[in-house]
Amino acid sequence: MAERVELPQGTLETLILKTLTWGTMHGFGIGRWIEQASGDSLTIEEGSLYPALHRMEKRGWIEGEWRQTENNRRGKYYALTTEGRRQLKAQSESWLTIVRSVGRVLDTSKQPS
Amino acid sequence: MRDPSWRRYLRFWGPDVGSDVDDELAFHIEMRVDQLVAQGMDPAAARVEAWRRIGDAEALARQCREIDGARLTDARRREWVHGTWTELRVAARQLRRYPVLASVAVLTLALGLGATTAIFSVLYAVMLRPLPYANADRMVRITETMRGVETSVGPGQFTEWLTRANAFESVGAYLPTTFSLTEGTPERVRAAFTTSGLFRARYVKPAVGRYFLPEEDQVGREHVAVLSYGLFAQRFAGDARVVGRPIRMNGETYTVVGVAPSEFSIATPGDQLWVPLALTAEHKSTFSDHWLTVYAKRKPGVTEGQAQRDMERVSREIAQLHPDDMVDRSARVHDFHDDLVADHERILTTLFGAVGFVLLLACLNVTNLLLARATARRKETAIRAALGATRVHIVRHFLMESLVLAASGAVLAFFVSRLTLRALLGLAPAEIPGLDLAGQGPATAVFLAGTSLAVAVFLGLLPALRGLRSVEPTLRMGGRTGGATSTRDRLRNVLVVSEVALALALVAGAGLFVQSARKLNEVDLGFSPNGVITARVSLASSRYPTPEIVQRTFLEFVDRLRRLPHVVSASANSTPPLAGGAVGVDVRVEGRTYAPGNEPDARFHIVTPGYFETARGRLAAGRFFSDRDGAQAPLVAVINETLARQLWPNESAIGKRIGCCAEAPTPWREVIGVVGDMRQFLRREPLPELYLPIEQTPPVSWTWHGNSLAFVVRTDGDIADATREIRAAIAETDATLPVYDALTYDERVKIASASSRFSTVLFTVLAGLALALAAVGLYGVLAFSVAQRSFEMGVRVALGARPIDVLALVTRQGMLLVAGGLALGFVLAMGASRLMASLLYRVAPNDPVTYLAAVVLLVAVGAVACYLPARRASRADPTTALRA
Repeated sequence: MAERVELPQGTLETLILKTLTWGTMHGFGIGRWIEQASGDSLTIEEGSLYPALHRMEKRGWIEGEWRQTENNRRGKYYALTTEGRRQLKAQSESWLTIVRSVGRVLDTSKQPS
Repeated sequence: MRDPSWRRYLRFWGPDVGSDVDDELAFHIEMRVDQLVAQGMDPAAARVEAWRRIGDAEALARQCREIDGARLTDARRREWVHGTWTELRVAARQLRRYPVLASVAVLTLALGLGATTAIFSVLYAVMLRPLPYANADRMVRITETMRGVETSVGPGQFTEWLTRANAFESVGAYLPTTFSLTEGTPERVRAAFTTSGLFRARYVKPAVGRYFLPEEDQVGREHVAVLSYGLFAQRFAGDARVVGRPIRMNGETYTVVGVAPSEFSIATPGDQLWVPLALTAEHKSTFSDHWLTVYAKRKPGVTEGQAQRDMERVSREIAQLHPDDMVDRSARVHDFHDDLVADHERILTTLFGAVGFVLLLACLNVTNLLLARATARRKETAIRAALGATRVHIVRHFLMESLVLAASGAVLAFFVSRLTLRALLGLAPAEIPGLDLAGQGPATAVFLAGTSLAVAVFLGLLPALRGLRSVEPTLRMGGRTGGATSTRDRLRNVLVVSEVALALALVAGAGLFVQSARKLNEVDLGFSPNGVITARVSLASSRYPTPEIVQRTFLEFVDRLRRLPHVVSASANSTPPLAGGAVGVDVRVEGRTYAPGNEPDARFHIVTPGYFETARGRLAAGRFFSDRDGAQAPLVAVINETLARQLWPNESAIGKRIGCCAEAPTPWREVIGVVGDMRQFLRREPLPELYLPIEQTPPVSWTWHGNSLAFVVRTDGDIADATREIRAAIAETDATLPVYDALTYDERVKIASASSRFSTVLFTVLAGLALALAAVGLYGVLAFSVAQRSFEMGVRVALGARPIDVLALVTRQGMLLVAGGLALGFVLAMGASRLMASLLYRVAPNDPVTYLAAVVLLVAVGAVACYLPARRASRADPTTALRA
């Protein structure tokens, strides 16, 4: 198994938004998908996943809806709202900017003058 | 495992936060178990592992529920606001479809709200507005009392209070006066002598400079002055350099040390400047003369009761030192603000009550209109209910409609109140303090908004409840609007009865004021006021130092005035009738002794020979003064009938000898004449009065009047011309003398009756408004009932009823309501009018004539309001009515 890392604050929400761009999904599915997409290097705790989902629903980034699953269970499926899409765009841009900037600093070999 | 499937139906009534979260977590467990089993785990172990991963499931669920709860509250609130806004727009649109009903309702409300707001703004400005002083609630006025009757304060007593009283932070004395300000054109200014303690008690920062220092209360240091902001702005152009400058007043020099801020006043507003009150050592040991007004400020934490007990203790201590001067005397502490508005409180609260009645009437009327509409809209309401509107929704719908009405009414009422206020201020007696501030500040707007909201709820509630109640029967009747149900009629009848009752109370109130004003007009003043001018002149003691010079100057002036072309006769009196209270003096009677404190007293007047002839007073016995009653002639006096009756109830006063003015040894003065009573105050019964001829008056009496007399001049021509001539004649002799307080008796009577006129006019207008509203209400109910019963009327006519029978039927229905209203209104008016007894002049609050007239008027108006719908009903064509 690959090395496990802790998620920085607020990153989980960005990842949830990204997951939902593929279509509506229930909480369990969202968690699984993120873990798999990270190559199982991320573990999504239920204790942070569900509060995050409900918080985002309150802010109007995602919408919950009860639906039947294939094996006839009733699950709460989440879908991205327009506001959610806007958030994802803004958050992923700033995330990439941070990653690039931090990476550039770490990679540099020049001594500060 | 719970089966959640049935619970989805709960969602029909809204989301169920608690079970939603539980379901979501349960679903998560199931999915995890599936996943673990698929990876080859035993199902039981998989379930344990799934729960282990979640950890504290209860805490997690609680956290999610909290987030959801907040979200749902937000959402519900948003939905409610949105729904209310929609309802509001619907209500406005619906009202626009009934423009006549809507405009009648809005106009009625605007009148009611506007009038109420206008009166409120006056009431607020005069009674409720906080005084512009720090700790105004601790301000008091202290008076002496004599056998329980309040008197002014003696300088000796005041001096003792300063050191003995413990309840007060500061105590100060006040003595109103006037000064001749001789800077440029001479001007008489209203002023007051004040001790420095008064400014400390009232402390608000001076606008410029400073107030008086404690050492300026001493003789020799007192030639300083504090200007009011008004005088500073108007006379000294608001130039701050006036501080430190000398000004000339009454022929002496005063240094301006400060300017008070614009709203500052010590007693009643209107003082233009203040000068220190320097009590001499002689004053400070005088306990038998009482001429000061005393204000003080309670120490923090000292109650009014404690202050009162403290002053009673101080009075007892003074009584031990000066037993003769303190017989039956004590002191009383009054709240300053209550004291200031006490005279006007009754009239303002009465008017506010009356205007409240009018507002209530307006509301009842509009409620009646809305009820009629609610009835017509029963079908609509029923459909709304059938389509899922809850009771709350239906009530909201009606409330929104009344809110739109009340809000439109309020907007219009704002302008109505502005106009009303302007008319009110033109009419109101000028002496009411703080009146000029009416309508300013946010209080009036807050009142209007609050009242409008209350009105909206009041208006909406009855139709809403009615709408709710009518839901079921309407549906059962298949939406057909049939015969009137009796409960609805009963409710509308109750409204009309209340309207008639309120109108009767207001009309009766107005009637009482009209009666009172008539009685006031008929008062025998005791003299003939037409064409008489009074104007006051005061001779500064620096230029007119002795009583002899003062007397000679006034006699010369009178002589000069007598020769003016428009003047019929001229004279002078220290305090002419209707020009404020005259000085009170103790009277002694030769051969009688009175216990200390029991001496008879009289109002004291200095008059020139010819005064009674000029005023055209009635000679009851003896003779009036003549030129022979000079300084060397035998001492004489004229008294009025009240004093004569009081001193010699069963014998003639002529030839009896009296003394006055605390002169010792008493120079006896022979009563040579009795004059018919003249009114000092329009509304007060005549007081005992004593007149002395100018050349024989004791020198001390000049100081009581500040060396001033009022000329009383009868003219035959143009009043304005005559007034100008009088001013010119006096300026010719001494150009520095200002002529002030110049008024005709027509004006004085007008001023004295201003408050009576104020209440009479206002009450009459309000009563007229009430009468119109009640008539409209009665008409509306009958017209509606006739329209609803057109079928019944048609049947009656078809069965042989004559038009006159139908007419009688409807009229009887209406007049029964009027009769009910009159009975109720009679009780209401009897109760309410007792509260205004003190405002009436010689009219009992239950005056039968007034009540009878009011009842007759209402019956007449009611009859007209009944006749119109009754006539329509009697002309009903049975075929039309039955086919409809």
